[in-house]
Amino acid sequence: MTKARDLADLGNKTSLDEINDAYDAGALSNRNLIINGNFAVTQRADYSSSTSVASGAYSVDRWKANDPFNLQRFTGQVIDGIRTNYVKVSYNGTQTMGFMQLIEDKNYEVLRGQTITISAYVRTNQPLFGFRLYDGGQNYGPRFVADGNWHRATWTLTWSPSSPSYFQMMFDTYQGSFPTIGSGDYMDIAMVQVELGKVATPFEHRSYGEELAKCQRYYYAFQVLNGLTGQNSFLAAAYSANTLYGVIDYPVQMRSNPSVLSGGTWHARNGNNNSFTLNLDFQKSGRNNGTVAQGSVGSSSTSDAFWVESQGSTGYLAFDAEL
Amino acid sequence: MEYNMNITVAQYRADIDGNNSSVKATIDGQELSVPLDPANRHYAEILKQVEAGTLTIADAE
Repeated sequence: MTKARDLADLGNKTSLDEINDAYDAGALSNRNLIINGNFAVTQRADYSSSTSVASGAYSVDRWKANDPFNLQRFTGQVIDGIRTNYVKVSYNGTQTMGFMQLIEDKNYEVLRGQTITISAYVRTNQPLFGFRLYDGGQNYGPRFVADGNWHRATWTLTWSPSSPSYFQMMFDTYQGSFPTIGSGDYMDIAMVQVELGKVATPFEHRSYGEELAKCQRYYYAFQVLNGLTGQNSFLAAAYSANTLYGVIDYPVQMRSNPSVLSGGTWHARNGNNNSFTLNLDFQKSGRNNGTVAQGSVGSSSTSDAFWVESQGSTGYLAFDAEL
Repeated sequence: MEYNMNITVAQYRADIDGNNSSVKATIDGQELSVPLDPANRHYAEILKQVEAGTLTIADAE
């Protein structure tokens, strides 16, 4: 069957075998509305050891703590015959923990009034964990099988056609109240997918570059602590004595004008080598680039040109346009 | 549970033309430069807390 025929017939398919045929032919690409559902992208840190994530903070790209947890990422694991990554989300001393992704309104519009299916591979020891969807109101999904083995959990629901202003897909315990969990409780999570339709199709694997670009709409790590992104530099000029201005382009258009987070030791170099602590402000901020300002750079005179480079392991610079 | 950012410091920063261009804020223990874009989650939260009377943005120096 041709790809064009698959696409034309897609709306008539009802069985998983038929949908899998279409999937194999490539007719169902870009169907997963979850970004970084296989936890391939980790711009903030590599999470190779268990790391505490505070309530409201982001961890692996696009994934946020609704309530605090410890998170560790495991790569190159085989789950149900598929080589992939997973994260261990575990108890960190508070009564609850919640792991979630917010989907942008420009992307979830297509889901309004439609039947959708959420799926993920989950391994847990706590039968209180399950799916939840917050859309301005609460939708409670099934609890996970808590036998310490991997299971593919699925949840099909018809999403409200009107009023929702949020799409928050969560893994947690909340079903009207938060039951207490305890030490040793965990969820291992892999291959998360949200898609149109009433059948959970196989997880959609995208290239690392494609997934990274999707993540960079929300967060762009220009320079990460400990040099995980190498040693990066940007160009700048002195507008006045000791104050530099530079333009930093973003690799993709960001969702909003981003906030900038900066610090550590950097060097402004031309004939001189001026060491300073990076603490950027915005001169101008857009979604395609930002003009940043840095004060307190010694030995710089008006119109001097520099390249500003991170050295060692302390420099960091990131742009945040997360939801 | 509803999460509210902990904002301890907020001050406007001016561009080279003297116009407010961003807010320097300490949010959840991190110092950020936040653009004046209501779609930015940090600025949206700053506006929310200012509206609630729990935060004041200091003038630019």
